[in-house]
Amino acid sequence: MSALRQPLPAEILALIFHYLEQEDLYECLLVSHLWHTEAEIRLYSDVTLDALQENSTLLVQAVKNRKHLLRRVEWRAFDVGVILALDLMDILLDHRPPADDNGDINTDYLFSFIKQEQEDYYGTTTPAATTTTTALSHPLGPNRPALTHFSYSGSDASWRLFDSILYELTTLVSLDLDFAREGWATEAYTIDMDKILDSFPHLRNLSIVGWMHKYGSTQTTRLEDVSHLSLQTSDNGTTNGSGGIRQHRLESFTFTSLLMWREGSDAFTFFSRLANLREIVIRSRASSIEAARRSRPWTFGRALKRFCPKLESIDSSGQVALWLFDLPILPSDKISHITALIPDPSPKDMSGVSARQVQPATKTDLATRLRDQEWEELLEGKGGVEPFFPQLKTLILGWDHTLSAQDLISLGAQPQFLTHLEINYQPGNPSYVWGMHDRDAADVDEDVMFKPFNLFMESEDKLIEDRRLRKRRKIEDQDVMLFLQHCSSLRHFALTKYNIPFKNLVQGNDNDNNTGTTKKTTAVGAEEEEEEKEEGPSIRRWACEDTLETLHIGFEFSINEPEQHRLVWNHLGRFKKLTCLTFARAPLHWDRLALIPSVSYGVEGLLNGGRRGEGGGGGSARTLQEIRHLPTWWKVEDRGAMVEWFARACPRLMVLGLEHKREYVDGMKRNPYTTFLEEEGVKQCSILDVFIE
Amino acid sequence: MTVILVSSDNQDFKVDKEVAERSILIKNMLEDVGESDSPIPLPNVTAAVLTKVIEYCEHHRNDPVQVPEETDDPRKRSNDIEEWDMKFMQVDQEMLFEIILAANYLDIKPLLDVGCKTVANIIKGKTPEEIRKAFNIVNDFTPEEEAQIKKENEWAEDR
Repeated sequence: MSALRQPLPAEILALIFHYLEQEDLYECLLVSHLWHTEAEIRLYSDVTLDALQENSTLLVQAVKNRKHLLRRVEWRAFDVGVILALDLMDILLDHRPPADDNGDINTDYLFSFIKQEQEDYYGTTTPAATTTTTALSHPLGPNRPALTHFSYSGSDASWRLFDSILYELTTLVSLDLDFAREGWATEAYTIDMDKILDSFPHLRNLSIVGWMHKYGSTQTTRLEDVSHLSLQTSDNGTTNGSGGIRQHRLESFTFTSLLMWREGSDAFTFFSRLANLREIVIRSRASSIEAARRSRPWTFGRALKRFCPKLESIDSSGQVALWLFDLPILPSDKISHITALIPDPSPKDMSGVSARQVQPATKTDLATRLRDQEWEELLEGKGGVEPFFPQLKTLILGWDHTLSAQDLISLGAQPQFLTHLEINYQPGNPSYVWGMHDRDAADVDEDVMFKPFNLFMESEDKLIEDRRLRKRRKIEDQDVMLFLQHCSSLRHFALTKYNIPFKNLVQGNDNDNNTGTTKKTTAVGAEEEEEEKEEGPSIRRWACEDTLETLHIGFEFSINEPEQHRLVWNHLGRFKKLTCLTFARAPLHWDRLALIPSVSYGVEGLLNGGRRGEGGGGGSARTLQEIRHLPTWWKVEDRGAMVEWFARACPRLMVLGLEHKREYVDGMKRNPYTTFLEEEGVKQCSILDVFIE
Repeated sequence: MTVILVSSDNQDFKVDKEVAERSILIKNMLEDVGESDSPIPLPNVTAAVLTKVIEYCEHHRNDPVQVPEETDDPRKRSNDIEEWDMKFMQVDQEMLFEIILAANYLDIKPLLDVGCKTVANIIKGKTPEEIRKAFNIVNDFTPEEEAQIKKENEWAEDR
């Protein structure tokens, strides 16, 4: 081969090196001078300093000579040990401690830091009160790196030293702090939110999580300062407040439940500086009792509604009382429509026959009626329900979340921008946050307040009072279904760790509320609707059939009811834009199964996309590009044929991931059902990627 | 509507406007020039390379236009190349580099990305000598320089 006419220019090499890991970049350093220059830039722009790693001393030395290349630094410290911190001062701040004649660090200087550390640890000073920094005795040097990203994970021991480094990194665009509980952690560190916002004017992403004392703010923003605030959007899109509050550029903020527990009426006024905030991520490790006692969801919601009009994404996991809507407490004199639900001791039944045999209503019955009435109210937009986050597009709820039923229903009912919802559904999760009510509101009689323990004493009076106080309720099956039937803007929906039983999907359900909640205007009983179509039960339509693109969902059916499967496949075929369908992992019991993709179980419903007899013409099979965790419970001999069926039915299908069933063969766990992947038909089909999950 | 592209060795290529506009450079040129029929000269691209580039743009003519994303993620994946693209990129090293340079000049980001990923995949796992051999690069280091570099960057070596 002839030599290249021209070598690749530096900017192209830079692009290529973006795709390489450390080991390969090392090899590139030795290829040629040009490659060395570019590879070095890439290698040292993104550096992780980990005190526990073998090569860290070598790395620190190499980095010291190349500080100007640093853009992203991740600092992992078991402890903020003094020596490592001094190295960091050199690297990040170009600050070299005074040396004696031999070039060693001046020991007095060193001891002064250690002494401070000891004072902090043994409690002679309280770090919670102040965050005074150790004054650097030398001005900052010229080789200081232009850091954009800094992340720290380690304990909060030696917080003084940490502070003296942290607040000097004023060029940061992204800051990530994770305080670990190990080593000499004091959990006494207080983050000063105002100081953070002041020190890092270019910051767009901020994440402060872990174990620390609290989120503080140096009371520079008081409630009275911002009470007259009106927010105006300037030309470049950043929001500026009149009245002297300079808006910060921060777009994404990650924090723990500690922040939700701030006390006082000024608790969340520092958010008045965050009018550009688009996303919040909340991580909580609190117990549900703590969350119930200390969270302030109403105050938090009201503050954010007022100060952060651009908020469009919330990601929350753990016990965090976070309400999305303001459900105003009903005044005691305005609850006649609720008290009317308490049934008479001797109700008449439908035919007018006076009831001697009818039992007095049980508390369950009242609870059900109250719930149904609340549903109706929420779905019709009555009762002054206001969203705290009117721009919400994305809501992600992780493990042990505390989204309430009322908030979910309201999300579905109100005209929303909501396009993305992920719920990690934990139906059996007890939580004391359901006992909370808005203490700041008027019309609350303190005598009536029940302790969380009394949740189990469901007297009629208590049920009524709970309803009046708008106490939240955990999400149940019907709430999810109701949401799906009403939310018309959804593009991405995921409901993980939950398998929907067939009865929840259909109409004619016992708990079904037919009045005004369906698109069908015939408000008659279920039997009449069934008579209209000969097939009996049918699946309730979802409001998002025209918009949904991604669906992650699980089903639980009986193997003996192919009709149920057929109806659901038909339902799945209704979506006009579905590109990605992921099934939740199937239940493990023999008589309960996931949705079966097989012709005898109606899988061609994907093609018809609608009721039988409708033209259909393609259904969601036309748009599907990716199917994951497709259950493979069907007969072994059918598997290759089914893959080919999917290839023919779904012309755009590129990825097909198959769930497999492990079986014990000869006493060993084996997956014997993979041979079909080698069949000619399967290998040659149009699906690019067929694999076992 | 078709446009005429002229390679550096004076060969004419007639392509649909929609296909040609996968190149942002050409797209901007067309917008500036307006409704003129005059051919567009591409002095930096030979006919052989232009043929390949046009083939790529034809195949991807219906792809959605990529929005420049400001991702914060420094690490990018190179293992997600489509099968057609992979076969398309199975050319000799010289042509591979020429395609990348052309994609850069013509501002066709998806093609540039695929090219760079392909090169990255070739580099992965190779020693410096193997890399030089693969790309015909001359070693311009003295042995002392090599030793120095190895010493300074020891921490990054894969053990």
